[in-house]
Amino acid sequence: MKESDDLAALSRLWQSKVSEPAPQLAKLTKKYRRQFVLMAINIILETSILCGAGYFFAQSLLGSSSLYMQLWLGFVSSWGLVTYILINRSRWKSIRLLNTRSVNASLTEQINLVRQEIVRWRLSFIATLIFMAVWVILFVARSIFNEQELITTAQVVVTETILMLALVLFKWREYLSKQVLKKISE
Amino acid sequence: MAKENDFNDYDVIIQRFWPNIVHSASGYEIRPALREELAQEMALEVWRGLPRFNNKSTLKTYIYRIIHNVGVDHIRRYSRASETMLDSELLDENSSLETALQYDQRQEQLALMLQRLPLSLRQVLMLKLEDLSNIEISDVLGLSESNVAVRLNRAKHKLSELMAGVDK
Repeated sequence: MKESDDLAALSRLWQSKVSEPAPQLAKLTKKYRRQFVLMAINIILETSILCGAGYFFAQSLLGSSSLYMQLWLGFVSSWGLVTYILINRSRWKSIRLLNTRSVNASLTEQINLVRQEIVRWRLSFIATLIFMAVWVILFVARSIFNEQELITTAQVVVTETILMLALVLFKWREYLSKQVLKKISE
Repeated sequence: MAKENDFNDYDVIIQRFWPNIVHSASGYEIRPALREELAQEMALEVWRGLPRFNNKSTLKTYIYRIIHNVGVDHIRRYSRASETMLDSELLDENSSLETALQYDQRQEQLALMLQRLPLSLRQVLMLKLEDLSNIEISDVLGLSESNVAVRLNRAKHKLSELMAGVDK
């Protein structure tokens, strides 16, 4: 493309694009409502799980649970709480994004959202790594002190494998988010 | 201007801007199924945004703001296509000269090349291809007119480089 004539030709080519099927607004509105309901269910579910973990943690502190159990539940509760806050803060900001603002203004917010997403995946990766280490330390400690409620080797292997897969997933999602950040920051 | 609660008016506006919505969706998504979905989503967001239109800008620039904001949001939420995928699609299209000469294939190729431009240049060029003036583009994107002119110039150069690469 050299001159404005070329741009005009490209413009004609661009605008002559064959139309897609007409918009089905009623169907789309239904889909939008369904997504909203699904998100609400997710939030309720996550809050319930978090409350449950918090309740068990409080019970273990008040009751006669072992120090290992208290540490374990404390770790799960705080991990869940941090992730919960970050995810919902990101959700809230995403909902509040105004499509009617100038593209440049909302682009800055979109970039911030992706950055937060990257932090979230990184945090999940680190937290899971710590989680795995704590799990192994608990297993070794229990074995050394020969406690009655021993964690079986099978339990450790299964948990570590699941957590390892979670680590791979978090890294992959972080990579994808970085790609998106690169794309929208260009 | 669209009147509040006048859904018929909104539908008419959506129908009028539907071709522009479809073109814009092609600039943000190359995968046909997702592109169609994106176009539908853009239409829905325009429909939802019309009651808030307050004459501070023209209806045209207002609608383009919504369309491109949805496009950026789409990149953030659905971006999975790697550059490798786009390259392979481009190669496939170049493999047959006969096919490449077909008009719709050229349109697809233009959409592919637009997608290879950095977003800041792509948006300016897409709006220019929709026949918006530099003033209108600056209103949609929230940039100064001089910035729009610079970006447009860069976009044209970059696009011609890409096209030259394809022609070789």
